[in-house]
Amino acid sequence: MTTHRSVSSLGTSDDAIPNRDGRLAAARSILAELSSVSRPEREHSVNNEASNLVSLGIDDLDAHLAGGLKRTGVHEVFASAIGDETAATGFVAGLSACAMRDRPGPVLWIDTLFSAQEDGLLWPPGLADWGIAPDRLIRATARHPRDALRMADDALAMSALGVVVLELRGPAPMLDLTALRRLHLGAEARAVPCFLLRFGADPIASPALTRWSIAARPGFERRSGQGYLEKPNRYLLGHPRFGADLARHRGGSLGSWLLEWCSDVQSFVAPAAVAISEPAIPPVQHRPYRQTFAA
Amino acid sequence: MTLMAANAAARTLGIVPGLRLADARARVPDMAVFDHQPDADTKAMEAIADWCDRYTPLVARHGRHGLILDMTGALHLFGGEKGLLVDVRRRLGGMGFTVQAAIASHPATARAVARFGAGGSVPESDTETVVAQLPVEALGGRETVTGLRMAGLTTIGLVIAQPRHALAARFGKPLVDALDRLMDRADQPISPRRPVPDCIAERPFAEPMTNPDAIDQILAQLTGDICVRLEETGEGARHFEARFFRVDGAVRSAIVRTGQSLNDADVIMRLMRLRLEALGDKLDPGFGFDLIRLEAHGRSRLQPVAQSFLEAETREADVAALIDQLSIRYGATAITRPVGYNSHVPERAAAYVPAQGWRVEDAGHGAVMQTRFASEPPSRPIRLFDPPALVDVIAEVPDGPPLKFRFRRVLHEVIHAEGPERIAGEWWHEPDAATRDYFKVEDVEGRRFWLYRAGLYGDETDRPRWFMHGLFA
Repeated sequence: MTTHRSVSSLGTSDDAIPNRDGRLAAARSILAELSSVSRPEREHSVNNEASNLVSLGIDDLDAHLAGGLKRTGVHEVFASAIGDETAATGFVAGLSACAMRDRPGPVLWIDTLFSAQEDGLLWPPGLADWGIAPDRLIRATARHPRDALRMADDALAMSALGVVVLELRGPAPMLDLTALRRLHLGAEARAVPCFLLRFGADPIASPALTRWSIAARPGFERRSGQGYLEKPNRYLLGHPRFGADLARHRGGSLGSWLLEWCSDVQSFVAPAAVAISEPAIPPVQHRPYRQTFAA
Repeated sequence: MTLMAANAAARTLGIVPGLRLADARARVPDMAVFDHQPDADTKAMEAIADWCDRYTPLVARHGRHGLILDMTGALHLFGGEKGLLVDVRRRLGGMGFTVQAAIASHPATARAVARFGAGGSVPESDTETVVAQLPVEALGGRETVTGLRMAGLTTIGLVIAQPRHALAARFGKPLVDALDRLMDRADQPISPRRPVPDCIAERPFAEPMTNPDAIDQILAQLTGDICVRLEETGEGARHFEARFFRVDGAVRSAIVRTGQSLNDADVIMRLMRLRLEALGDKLDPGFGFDLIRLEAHGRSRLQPVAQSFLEAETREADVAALIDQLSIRYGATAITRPVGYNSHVPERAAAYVPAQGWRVEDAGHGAVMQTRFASEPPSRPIRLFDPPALVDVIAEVPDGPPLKFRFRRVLHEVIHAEGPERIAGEWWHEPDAATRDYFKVEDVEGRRFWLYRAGLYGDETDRPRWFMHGLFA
């Protein structure tokens, strides 16, 4: 993964942490220690704090998250604008794949009856490219958001699952602070991460560990897992790219990153520096839900 | 307009089915007439048949308004033949139905005696004498009956007295067969409406039961009874059905299906409680239940499960238990897992099936699932539209990649278009399916779409249409 270290965060994270280098070094040393622990040992220490961290594949990002995304809790992922639902779906699929990489157990993906018509049917051949093998996917379709919430609740009562994804469209009044706390406590107790995928909704106060706002970003060059670059080409697509805004981070600072998903290594990677300076992109039209609905 | 049915009072006045309404009105001016509702009749018959399950699980419908109950081995539970007839007449009569009932050693005999005779119970030794007195109408078939009557044969006794070969020569084999069935000489199996359960436990109540806690307790006892019996042979069952017979004749049921055979009463009861909870108000006791029955179907040998020390195996069992639990609460079709199929047509390459019947092998056919080459971005969309949505597309040339397209009223400007990936239709399924040219396109904002053009320009069509088939992340 060393080849991708050239990336840096785009947003405010540099200003937010004064002693960033020191913490980075500390986190790296923890990571080095972690990777030296052999796998069987790691599996036995389920409640060990370090094994409950999910590496997202980008050193910079992992370090910012103090070692990786915590398994023990709820993480919220919002589509940042209308049209970014699929990008948010991909981001959650990627997070799930990372979380399931060294843990057994399937992902339970809970959606509602109309999500197949609204956003398209969650497609197993596509998910396979995002690191979720078809034999590790269970899909639950709730008639009502309330049922979806109860399904997630039931699922988080046991530790057999690898990941629970709860996908809800629109404002969900039943998903209040109490319900969120319930989910969070379940996820915390079983060390099964719960990803809340929200479309067309505004965040509310929540006990979630992190909250991400995801937008699609134009990507250009194609490269292999080893970082080989091809010339930008109108007829070739690069790896899918996201703008990921960390809008809430319990016990940590915020930031924003440009990420790509590499299907070869089945992990997030940092885009190469060339892409950022690519001049041909007009500024992205950002349409937050709030403005759209207010108008 | 003709009359379809008449009650006993009307019949005594000479009003019979088949009469014209005007003629009937002429005879009895103040007659009450109702519209014939065949669907409602069928529903009522189904409801009565459900209710008859309280006597035996072997209930078959016969014709439009007949039921045949196979009471073999169950008569003693209801005070013998006479007791059963009294009970049926009293209960159904109490609900306002007119009942003609008969018990005989053969379904055809019982039916004939109920329809054309005096009803009641026919002892096996008396079968021939009773049947001999029945009119020839009991043999069915209008032509046969007319023919017999013209020959002066008015009762079955007279018909039986004729030589068989003569009857067969004149009226054909159906008449001889009908005679044999009536005289209990030929077997005629009935086909029950519901599958026959492998195991039954039931509890009747003298006083109607409404208390949910008591109902729960009774169900737990019944589950225990069934599990003891299943355990004796080392078997389990995969389908449990609790049937609640209400005093007013309605029957409610709660079904629990599991992925694996079970004979653990606690587990079954836990699932049953989930099911009852999900049913909620639909299990309305009304004035109370007077019989609760638990049926076990799909009896099969139990998978020998040793308590495993391996984490992976207990985990698998836990996942199966969660799937059972969710399937019971939210319906088996709500919890699904993917299967792969050997097809190049994207929408046929995969599907979701109920998770309870799913096996690991189903997810396979990996060759089709994996269409991506190394260093490429995902080759299949993460979300698929089925059916594909029609979109307006502007392309450079009729067979070129799209430049702009309008999807859900938003105009997208294409920056990158990768393709075409040409996928031909499966001629063995749909001979006329158009060839599709798929393009992965990215718009200005970095959103990715999977568009295809249906039909080869100039070859299959002059105006190719474009469809949105999926979304890439």
